[in-house]
Amino acid sequence: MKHGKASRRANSIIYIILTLLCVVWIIPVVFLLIHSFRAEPGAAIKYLLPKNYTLDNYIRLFTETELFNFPRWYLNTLFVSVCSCILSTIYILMISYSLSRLRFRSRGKLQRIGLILNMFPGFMSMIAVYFILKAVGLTQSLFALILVYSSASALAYYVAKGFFDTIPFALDEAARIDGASKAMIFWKITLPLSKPIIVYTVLTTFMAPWMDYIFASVIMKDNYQNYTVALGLFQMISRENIYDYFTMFCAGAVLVALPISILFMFMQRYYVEGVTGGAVKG
Amino acid sequence: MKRIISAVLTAVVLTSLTVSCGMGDGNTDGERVELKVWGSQDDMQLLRTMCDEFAAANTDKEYTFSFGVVGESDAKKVFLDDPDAAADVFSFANDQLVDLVSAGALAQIGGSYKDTVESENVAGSVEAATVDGKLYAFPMTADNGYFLYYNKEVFATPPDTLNEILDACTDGQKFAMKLSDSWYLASFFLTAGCGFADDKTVNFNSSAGLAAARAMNELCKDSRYINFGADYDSSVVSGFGDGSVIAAVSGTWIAEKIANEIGIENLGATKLPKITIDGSERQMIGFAGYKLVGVNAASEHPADAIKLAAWLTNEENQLKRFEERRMGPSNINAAENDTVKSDVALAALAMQNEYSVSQNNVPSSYWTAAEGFGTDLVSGNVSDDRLQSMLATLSESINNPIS
Amino acid sequence: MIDIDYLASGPVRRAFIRFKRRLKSLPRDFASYMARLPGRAARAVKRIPDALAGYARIFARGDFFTRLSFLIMGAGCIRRRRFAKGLLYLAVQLVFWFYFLNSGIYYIAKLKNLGSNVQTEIWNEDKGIFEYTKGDNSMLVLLYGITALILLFVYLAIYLSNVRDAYNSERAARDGGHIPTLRDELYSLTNENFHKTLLFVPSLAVIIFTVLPLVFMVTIAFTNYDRFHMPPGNLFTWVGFENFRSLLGFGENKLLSSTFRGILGWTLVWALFATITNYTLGMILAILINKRGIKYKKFFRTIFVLTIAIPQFVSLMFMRILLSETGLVNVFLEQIGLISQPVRFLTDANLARITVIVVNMWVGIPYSMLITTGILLNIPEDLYEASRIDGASPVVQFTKITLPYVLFVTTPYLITQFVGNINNFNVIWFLSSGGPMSGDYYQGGKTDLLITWLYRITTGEQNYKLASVIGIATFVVSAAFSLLVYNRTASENKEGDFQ
Repeated sequence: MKHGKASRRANSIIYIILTLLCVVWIIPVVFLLIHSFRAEPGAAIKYLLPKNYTLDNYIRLFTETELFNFPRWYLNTLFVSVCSCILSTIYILMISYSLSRLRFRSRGKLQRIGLILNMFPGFMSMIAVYFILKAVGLTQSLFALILVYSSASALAYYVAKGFFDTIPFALDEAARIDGASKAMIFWKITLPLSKPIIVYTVLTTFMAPWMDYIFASVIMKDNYQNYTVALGLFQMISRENIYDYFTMFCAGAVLVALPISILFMFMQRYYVEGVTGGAVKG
Repeated sequence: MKRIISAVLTAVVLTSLTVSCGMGDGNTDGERVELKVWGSQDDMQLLRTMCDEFAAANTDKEYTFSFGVVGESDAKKVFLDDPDAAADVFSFANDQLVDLVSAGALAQIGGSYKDTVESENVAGSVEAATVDGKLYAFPMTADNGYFLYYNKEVFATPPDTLNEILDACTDGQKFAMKLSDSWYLASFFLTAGCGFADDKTVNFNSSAGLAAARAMNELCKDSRYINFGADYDSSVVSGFGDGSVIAAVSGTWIAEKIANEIGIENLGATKLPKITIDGSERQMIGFAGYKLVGVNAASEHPADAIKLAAWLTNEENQLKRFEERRMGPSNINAAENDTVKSDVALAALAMQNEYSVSQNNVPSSYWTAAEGFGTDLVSGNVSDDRLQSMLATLSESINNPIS
Repeated sequence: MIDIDYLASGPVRRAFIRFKRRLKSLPRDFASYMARLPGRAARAVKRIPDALAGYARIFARGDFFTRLSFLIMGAGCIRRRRFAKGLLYLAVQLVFWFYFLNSGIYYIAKLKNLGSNVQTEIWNEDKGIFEYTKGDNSMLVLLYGITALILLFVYLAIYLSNVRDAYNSERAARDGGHIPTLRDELYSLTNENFHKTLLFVPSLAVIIFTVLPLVFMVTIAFTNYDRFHMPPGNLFTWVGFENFRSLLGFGENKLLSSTFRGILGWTLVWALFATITNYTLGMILAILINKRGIKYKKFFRTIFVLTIAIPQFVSLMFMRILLSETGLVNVFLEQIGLISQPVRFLTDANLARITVIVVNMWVGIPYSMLITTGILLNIPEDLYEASRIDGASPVVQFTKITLPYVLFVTTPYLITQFVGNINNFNVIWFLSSGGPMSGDYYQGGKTDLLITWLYRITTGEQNYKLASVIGIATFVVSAAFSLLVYNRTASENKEGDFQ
């Protein structure tokens, strides 16, 4: 059984490589976690492990709300991401389905326009977005953020379109012969087959508001009450605050990563299916 | 037909013009006045109290306030993004004054307000709030400059020269000054005698500029010097804590943190050291920094806004700001207060103020350009014969912004 | 251009040859695409008189109500008893004219020089204060002017459809044909016009929040909007191609054009390395995890995926602190005695460039690992079976089956990633902020991408005109590379090429 031995040796080498890589990947995460429990203040410290551990950083996040209203920001972000992920998913499904499964005259032109729009650096135009929102009286509100995030994601329909492209057209044809309208085909046939891509879209659009700093800062400006966590966390590591609040920043980051990690762990399978179904067809 | 259409169109254009032009005017001071105030996050609590006291002291009108969190360092950017939505009264660091004024964002301050400001505040702070002889803001603090911190365990008496400091560095100990920051870096040029001209140009590409660059380069190559980079302040604090830093250039904002690390009794602060430029020893010159309170030119209640700005910067409130937030007053009487004078950091700053210049003539193209220059130097591998051409690029970059 | 050399090579080599050819023909493709644009535009303009003549014919031949539709929208519809649609047209007309007369036309008129009234300062002796009268705000004039123009075009489109609609239903009535009822039209929106239903709201959102702002920002490139011309105190105005000239080196400031070239070069190098490292290493990682006989696949995958869940700016800022000269990495290296001086990960130009690419691997590999995983699972098992019967070793299986398959399927993804990396703001900005800043550059640093340079120029010194020009330049670069993906010839697209 020479072959078996060789492959066993190969496997153990692979295990070693994988474990090493895992360590590399997990170390910053672990550090973040450890330092969120550190009792001493300061960002630039000269030792790897904290001298004293405490839960204070987490407790202070929720009790000392005068300076940094973290609970409020957390809820703001949650609200924005839930609403914008619903809206974005609807947008993306509508666009990608039309461009993938429906045949109409301006289809090719629309696809090209979408492509071109995607290539302009997005935040080049943020100031204009701000003034458009202002003209309709929506600046500095959570609603404005929802609108901006969802319409920004509407153009990210490629993966979903690629996924729809892979569903056999024969199914549609069969339904058409039975007299179904296009809307019925969408609801009754395509949508039930699209679970992976829906989950994928929901996941990615849900994450966006937790991650975005630039757009939120342009839209919220001085409205402290409507900050999202990203804006708030950023305040904690500004020059004046970083020494006192760095550990709280770590704690806040852990709390942000928590819901997304959990979602990812459960939804990983769908994410992989969705993205491979879509991205590679493009 | 054509004539009718054009006649109709002209009429339409004319009416719409008058309609549109008629809008936007007509603001009258009612009994209720709402003012928006900006301040940094740490100052919010104090700011609210001061505004409430203002309302209590002025009962002839019903004042209500809204607050926005915009720190002094971001004020210009956030303000200019949308002046209409910006605060009526806001505080900012004095290096932003010129840009704010040239954008027409600040209301000029005249009459009795101007007289009061000029008589009650230290001359440097008034100068820092003045552009072309016109006063545009109320001085709030005089603590935004930099000076030298040192560890009293190492230095029995305040170190006077840079060489003295470097000689005291033993066993890997360091002197810290962030030369990759244009704010600190300017010191060398100023000391060498090539500063910022009134027409907002610089002449760094000169023999004086070269002497300054040589001095910087020598320091950068010295193993007893450290620049730290991105998180400078925080590194300085922990450097003092573990003894690896014995002296550092920074501002009042880290005094308390250093004291926490080495104990208040070991916290030393004094004016900047003397440095050797072109063979002669000269007192290092720094930037004088002030925080100012300005009034939005587009404010709907300009009279009330100015009144509030004056209130926020009066003697009592400056003292209060010192007591609660350790911010050094620009008001002469407040600065003479005994507790203020006994503050180690503020005393050092006052010493340095004799050798400081205002930032009003600094063109905003200076900051990033000089940061690039400084970053190149602190890498420690720039040879002296490259300096002249680097200075040429630097001056070009500052004097010839894209316009 | 399939030649013998090409046919004789294996699939991997073929893919490589194709890629090389594409890259070579890129400038030509792009130039010819651009060269075709004016012709297209000219043809579109030529069609306008024909279209207008068509409407003139409608006016000449139509009955009274059709003609009335030219003046009062919806008249034709109401005549044919399609009240809902007719009233809708009428409402559109009323609302539009109300808006247009109230503000639209005012801003369109001001577009010509972007406002003329400057803010003025008056001393009010009674109050003892300076008072200000508002001047024009050039930026708002420009934004609202463009909005008004877009709305005008939309209105014209609806207006013309109203005329066509009136004429069509008139003819249908005359010929005794079927005039669609409201019910019919609503039903068609779920069937042959289903795309209209689906696309209406999303396109509206895209037009308002992407197209309009973009048009606005592109026009800024032709103005002198910078900190010397800032509203509310100052006006800015049109300057033509001035800004493009200075970026390309025809202006006074030579430093600007040399900075542009330097940053553009690094942007391309960065995009190339960032894409290739993430892609290949992600693929290798996926192959290792998915290898037969490796246990705990899900566990390994989850560890890597965990890093996706942490907001990028958090992990990157954290890395930045870890990697600083006094950061934990240096402390650790010093403690184990590997170095005596701190390693200047982010402050030395060359090292910083390497650092951002390496850290970007930490950020990006999990994504490409996930994608490759999905593809690996999709490789038809019979391909392996067949090769096993032929006695192929695992290495041969990898080079002959796995690699070509994955490469083939992911080529478009690869190039999309490349374009994405050109615009990868987050990694650079939060990690190095473009630094170390350099004296050789105009307001730029050694790891700056075009996009971070643009951002610094906007926020730092409010140089909007320059930022806008850089934005357009970034677009041109991305567009050039996207042509690679989307102008593929049909033959290359066929899966048959692979087998």
